[in-house]
Amino acid sequence: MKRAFVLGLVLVAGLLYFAIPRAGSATSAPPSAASAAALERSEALATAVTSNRFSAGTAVPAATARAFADGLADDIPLPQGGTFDGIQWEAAGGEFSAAETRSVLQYNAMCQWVRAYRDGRETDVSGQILAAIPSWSSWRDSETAAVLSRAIGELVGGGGDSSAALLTQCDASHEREVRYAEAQGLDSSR
Amino acid sequence: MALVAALAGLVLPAGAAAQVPSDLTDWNLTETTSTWGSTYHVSSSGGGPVQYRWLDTPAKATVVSGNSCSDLSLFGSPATIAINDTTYKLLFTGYTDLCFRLRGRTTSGSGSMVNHDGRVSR
Repeated sequence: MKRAFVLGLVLVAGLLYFAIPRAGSATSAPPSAASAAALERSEALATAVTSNRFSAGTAVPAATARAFADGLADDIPLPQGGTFDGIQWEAAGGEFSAAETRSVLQYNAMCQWVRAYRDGRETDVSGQILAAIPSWSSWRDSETAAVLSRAIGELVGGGGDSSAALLTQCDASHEREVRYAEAQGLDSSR
Repeated sequence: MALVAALAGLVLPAGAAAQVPSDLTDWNLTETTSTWGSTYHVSSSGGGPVQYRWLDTPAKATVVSGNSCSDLSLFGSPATIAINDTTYKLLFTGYTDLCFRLRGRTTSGSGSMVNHDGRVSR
């Protein structure tokens, strides 16, 4: 009788162990390989040397800026389905330095992550990436970092005027990018 | 107190916003469009017009524009600024926190203009 009671206790304890969710494990699945890679790139940008002086370095003409940007884009995380194809290098014309090109790519990627978070996509990492964005290398310690920090803080906290303005800006940019990419015969971002 | 408020009302229109000026020191322009080395945001106090002027009297006619930080699209219309013109030119009107870049060049055939200072009001 006593042995049956002990066995019963062990059985109940075992069932509870597997039935009760534990923080950090049963409540959240591990990120996918793609999401983990995006998070890794985001963390690398947050610790990379700042590059917010556009005038430094050699500039490339607008006609080759897209190919130049493609060569720099591997370091910058995008949500699944994201592209940089809607950036208007050709229409803007002129020339672009490497620092400016990275800045355009990072700001564009920031907008794609902000929209992904708002839309409930890639929830396994989007919050962590948003938290790192104000530290990304193109604007760390600048006015842009302060504006993004405020807006993202509001977005994660439930919304406010700054987060609404950022979403308006990113949605408007996305609409333009879709039109531009399609006109160029390229893939628009999600 | 009421008198002060009434007088202030005569001077400042309701909802008047303070523009935030930022200076650009030693901007070098050529006939090829390039970008100033910082991004800017429309201020919360001045949300509305974004204007640009040269502080040093420009020796060349120049073209200055405001472009999107995200996709480089043009905001508003480029301002053509004549030789010797140091008055503000409206670039575009935007909402609070909108991020923009300043791009500029000298007019075709006029050569380069180096180390000139400007001011953006936003």
